[in-house]
Amino acid sequence: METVTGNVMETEVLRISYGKREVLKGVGIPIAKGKVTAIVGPSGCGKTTLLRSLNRLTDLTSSCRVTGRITLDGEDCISMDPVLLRRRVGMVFQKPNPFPMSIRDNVLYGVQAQGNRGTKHDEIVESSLKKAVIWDEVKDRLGHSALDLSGGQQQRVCIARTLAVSPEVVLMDEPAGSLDPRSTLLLEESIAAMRGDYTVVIVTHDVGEARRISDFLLFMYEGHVIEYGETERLFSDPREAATRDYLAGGLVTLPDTAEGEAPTAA
Amino acid sequence: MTEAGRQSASTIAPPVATVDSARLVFLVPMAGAIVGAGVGLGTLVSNDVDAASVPALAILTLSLLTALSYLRMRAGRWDRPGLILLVASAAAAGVLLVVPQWMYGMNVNGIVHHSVVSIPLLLLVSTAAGARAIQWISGASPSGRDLALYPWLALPVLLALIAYGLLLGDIVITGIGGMSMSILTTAYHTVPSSNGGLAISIGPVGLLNGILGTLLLTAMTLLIAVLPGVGAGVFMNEYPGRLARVVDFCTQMLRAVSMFVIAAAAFGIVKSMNGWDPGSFVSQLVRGSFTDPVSGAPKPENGSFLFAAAVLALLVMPVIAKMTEEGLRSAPRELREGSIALGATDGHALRRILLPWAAPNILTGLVIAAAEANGSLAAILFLEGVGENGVGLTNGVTSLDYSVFATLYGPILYAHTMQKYQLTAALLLLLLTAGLSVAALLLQRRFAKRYRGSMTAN
Repeated sequence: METVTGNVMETEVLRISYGKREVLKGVGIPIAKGKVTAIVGPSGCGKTTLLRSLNRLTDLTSSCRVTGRITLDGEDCISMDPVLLRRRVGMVFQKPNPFPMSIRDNVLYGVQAQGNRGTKHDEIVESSLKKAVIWDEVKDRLGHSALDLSGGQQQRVCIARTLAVSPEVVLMDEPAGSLDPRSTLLLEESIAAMRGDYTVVIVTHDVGEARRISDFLLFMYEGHVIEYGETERLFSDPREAATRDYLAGGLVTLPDTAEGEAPTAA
Repeated sequence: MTEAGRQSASTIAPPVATVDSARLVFLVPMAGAIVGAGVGLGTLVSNDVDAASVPALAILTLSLLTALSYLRMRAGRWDRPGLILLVASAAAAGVLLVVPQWMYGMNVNGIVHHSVVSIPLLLLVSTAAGARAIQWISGASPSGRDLALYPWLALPVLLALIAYGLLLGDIVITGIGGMSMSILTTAYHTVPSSNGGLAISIGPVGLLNGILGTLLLTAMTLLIAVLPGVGAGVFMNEYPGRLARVVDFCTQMLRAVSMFVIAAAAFGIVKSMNGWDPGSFVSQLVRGSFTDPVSGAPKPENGSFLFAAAVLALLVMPVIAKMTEEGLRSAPRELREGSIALGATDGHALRRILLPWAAPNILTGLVIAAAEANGSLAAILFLEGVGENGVGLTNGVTSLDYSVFATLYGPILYAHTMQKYQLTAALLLLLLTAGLSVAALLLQRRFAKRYRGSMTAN
């Protein structure tokens, strides 16, 4: 256990390519423990790839090549058993993907998958659903299929499912991407409730949302990290013109460095 | 803008009422012509030209006239092309019905010619008339033209139904005639003569051996095939690669091989055990045995239920494997990723999500496999007997298929006594297949609802 401001995860010169196309071009980022870190940037800048590499979902794509270093609590993630890594680094996807089973079974899926056959299941279900701010809506129908819920409710069940296995880090890939404004608000509420207990890394294309929920902000552009820092600072006093432009209106003036650093194909 | 919207909305209003009644109208001449065609076929079978041609022609003419007057009433006018088509085709049909008779007289040639010409003609005429009527009634609207295709598309289906009906009708009618409680509950067997000699006499007559044999054989086949089949399906989908392709290729080869090749190979194994002690364990498992009523010693059969089921299992395994593979492939990628992201192993995902998801497909695979096992008699033909020594794992194998076969080509005594029940056995097989299909449909729906919910594969 380090201090609260320590980094739970770090990447160093992380390069990821799909076939010949390099998507991440040497990314080094810190993930602050117990904080919400938002990754923003225009489409195709590599933010989702970066997120998926943090719990090695990139392994599922056969053409994907990863070089560089990713650490979790100082341990090398790339040589770790991916299943063990994913038990410590959970993921919530853009499209709600509840399993075709009851709400209760959904929440307990990861718990059982990780071999917990204990008797505290009811407590785990309740506390996880409460943290995901959905307990009140579903407490009377835990045995019903999770597929009967609305999209927003499904997404919060997916969050509860991820929290149930007590991961150190929760990755979120545009979790509000397919939700209506009201559901988005409830989702943000549940993310706010996670702050402190969990480390959250969230990819979003909604700059306003990033500002509302994150402590730290990471701005990416074309496979590079352009700027990283506390969210308020990036909004109030960005060091790079590209960051300022993007956060202001989503348009980016190309910084020379970004283009110049692009490595030539080996 | 709203004005324009309202206008276009009013012009698109579909002619709902006319479309429905148009369907009904075209059914009239079609039904008439189909009855006519059926009667024509009857001529072919019964060799009685008078019994067929007159009613066929009458029915066709009547139905066309009915359709015509209905059209006149609905539209309030005569549609000239439609009228010409209908009258001309009725006249042509009449001429073609009469001409062969006039040319050949009422002999076999005339009857065959008459039927071969008139049946397709009647169907074509009625289809054309139906299509024309539909187009006319629904106005010359685009949807009317689409609807006019309907009779042409329905024609081959109706023809197939007629063919099925004629085939099955014979089985059903003759089969029911031979059906009785005693046939269903009695097992056929012969009785050895009391003096211990070779002579045997006819004993009870019934299909129970075949019925029980079919049930046991099907159940055993599925039992043997289900685990390797599902396993192979999982393997081919979850570990795609060269080995999976080789497995795929081999299973396809197996299915392409003639059943008799497999039958010969299976019988070869049984034959190679000549000289083995029929009471030994392996011999009982493969060849099966029965107790000789005279000496009381075990004697070998040509193949046991267990062995026959194993041969059939080999044949139907690919079906189960393929259906399993398809079911797994249809599972959404999001579900797999969701499971992986929770730190679940592949095995856990398979047990809790993927196999339940594939369950409806696997179930269908099992039912198809059951039907296929019942339809692959040829593969175990050389092993089977009439099952007069009982039905059990190490008894000589028998089935309803074999009952159907043996009434013609089986042991002389069996053929002699059971011939009149051939179609009864066939009817029982039909009922079994129908029952399997209905059960599969119901179970599949239930499973799909239970394991997939409202989710659909993409």
